[in-house]
Amino acid sequence: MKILVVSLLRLGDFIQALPVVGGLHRKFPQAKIDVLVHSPVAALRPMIPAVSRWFTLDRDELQSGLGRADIPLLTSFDVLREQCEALSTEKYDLIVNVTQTEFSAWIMGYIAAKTKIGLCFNVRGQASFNSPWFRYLNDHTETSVSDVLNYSDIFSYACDVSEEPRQWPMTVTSQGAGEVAALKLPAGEVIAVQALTSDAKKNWGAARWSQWLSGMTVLRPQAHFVLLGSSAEKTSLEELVNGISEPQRISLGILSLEGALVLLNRATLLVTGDTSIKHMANAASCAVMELSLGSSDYRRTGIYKENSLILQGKAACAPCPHSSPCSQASHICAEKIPVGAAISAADLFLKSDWNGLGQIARSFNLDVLRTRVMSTGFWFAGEIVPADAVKIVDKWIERSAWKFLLSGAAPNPLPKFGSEVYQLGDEITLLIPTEGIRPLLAHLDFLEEQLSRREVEATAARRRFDPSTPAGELVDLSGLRAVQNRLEDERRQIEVKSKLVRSLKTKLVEKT
Amino acid sequence: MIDVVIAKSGDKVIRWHGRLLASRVDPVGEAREWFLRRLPFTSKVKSIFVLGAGAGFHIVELCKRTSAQILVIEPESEIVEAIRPLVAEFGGRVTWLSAGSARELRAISEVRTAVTTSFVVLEHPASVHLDRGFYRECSAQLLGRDWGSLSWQWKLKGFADLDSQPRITANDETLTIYDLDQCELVQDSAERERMLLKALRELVK
Repeated sequence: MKILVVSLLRLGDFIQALPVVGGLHRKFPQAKIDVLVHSPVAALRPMIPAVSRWFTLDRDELQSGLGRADIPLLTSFDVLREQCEALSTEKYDLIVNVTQTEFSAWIMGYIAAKTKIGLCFNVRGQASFNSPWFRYLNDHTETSVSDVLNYSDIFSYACDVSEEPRQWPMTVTSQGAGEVAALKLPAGEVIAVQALTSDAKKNWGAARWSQWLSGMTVLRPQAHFVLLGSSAEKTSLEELVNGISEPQRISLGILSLEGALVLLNRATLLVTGDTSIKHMANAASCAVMELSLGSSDYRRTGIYKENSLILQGKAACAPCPHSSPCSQASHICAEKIPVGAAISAADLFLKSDWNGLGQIARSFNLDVLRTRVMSTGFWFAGEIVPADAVKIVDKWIERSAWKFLLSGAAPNPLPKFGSEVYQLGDEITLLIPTEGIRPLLAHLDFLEEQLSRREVEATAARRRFDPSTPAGELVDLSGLRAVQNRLEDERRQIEVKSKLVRSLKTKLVEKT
Repeated sequence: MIDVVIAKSGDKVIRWHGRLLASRVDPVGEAREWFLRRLPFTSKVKSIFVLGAGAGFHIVELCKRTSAQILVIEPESEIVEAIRPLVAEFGGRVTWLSAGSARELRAISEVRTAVTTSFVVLEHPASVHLDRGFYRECSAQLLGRDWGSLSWQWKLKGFADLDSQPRITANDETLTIYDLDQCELVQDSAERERMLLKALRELVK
């Protein structure tokens, strides 16, 4: 069996999709798994032995071929065509596209394969997904959606490799070990810091990082700090260290990706923005504290590792859209994470003092979230001090309903459905004390009623677009398939959700 | 007409009508720099057209650093003969083209074969300086950024004739991927290729 995984965005996006590579490798141990990535991503090659071959597209080169008058107009076209033809001759049994872009969708359409999963265009530009999970992803791209599943979960469910816990199949290399050895780090606590990101909106700011480092050197007198970065970032990182009273306790870690992975295994803690290093930490032993800023949407791309910490300021504009500059007069989302809060949070996190972190959330009016992989199989970042536990339960029910709907499993007599309700019930009793269960049951009554009403409405709406509706009833002849599908999905999701709520109520009544 | 000068590095550099065709200090180093300034696609394309044989050092550099077929356009046969020994070890990979005019290139079978696959066009400044008009025309034929040369190349690749496409109107303007995409939209015989044009257009949106 031959499989190709297509990931044509940035390094971090590919690393986030790595559980798919790992999952497919475990599911089909005899299969050859190749990847098609942008050229810089291939730097990961020595660390991912599960991948047989790395095919690369050089986006910058293709762009330059289109834009430069001294390069033949057809060169980019020819190079792309030859690369795609070469991939077609590989005769893949399965291609998975984990890139939700039109560029990748056209490429998917061109490469021949037996089965294709993920966004794919045909010659007329009609999209197909071959998996409801990728359709879900496509329908939930807006930052304004109320809740959305983590991308690593979506990719894993879409490829049907969700049974095992997600794993990042990355291994350390001797080259990486050599780079870290050259840093001559002292024994004891090491805190790695990835202060810079690829997007200015996601940066916390040099002054804040300097103050944070100063504070941390005082609060953690035994710790040594490593500022991670690329050679292009060296000058900026050196400036962060200026003015710090104990600069000998801070090293610059100008490392390759291989070196970075070794460091993450050596470090006790990684403090980072939304970076590829953050995703790489899923494959390492360090704890992770993430500062979620700008267009970073932790719900989709937050640190996956269990018991990680995410700090996000309460800014109404966050997360903002990608590829547009900050719309505010000042960088509000960065300002809303005060340096003092980030210092205390890191210290308390290292002490596993979750109650103390709750205090930080309250004192600084900050979203402080703890990541979990729930027994229902989903990643979830929940507030340490839940402002509204009922809202969280709503989200969990919503996610479970999506899982059943998108996995194509009917809610009817199904052992899986029973165990989902059982697991949800257990999660709820961990979240809400016994005295809170009665008010929750009242809320579930209300929800059930609301869902019944919506189910009637959704069924009626669906019938209006259904060409098979009996004569005499109103039929919208423009009944577009897309509208039909959306309405049907909505109706089915409500149906599943209603059933979940009813079963959950029974389960919770038993508990009380 | 032609004579040879020994550069400081010890290499032999050709002089044509009194003009040196490479550095008289370090022609090999110069060729290396020349190559590095022209990196895009050189490691991926099947063929590289070189406008001007120069003193041959840049051709050697291309042979060493790429796996492409090298097609050198050089109208002066004396220059070609003088530098042949320099590139002898890469003999099979280098084709010498001596068209009398740029339009004659279209009839040369090696050119036609190369144009059906991926290629780039690199200029050797000292050679181009000897006959700017000729090389400018060669360049236009190969760059495919005007209507005539684009149609010629497109047809050679085996796709449907673009001549019947009314939507390309840019007579004197340099054509872009948008023009090609639009013109491809109205014909169906190469539909699969349309997907790649659409993909490329996404990159310049």
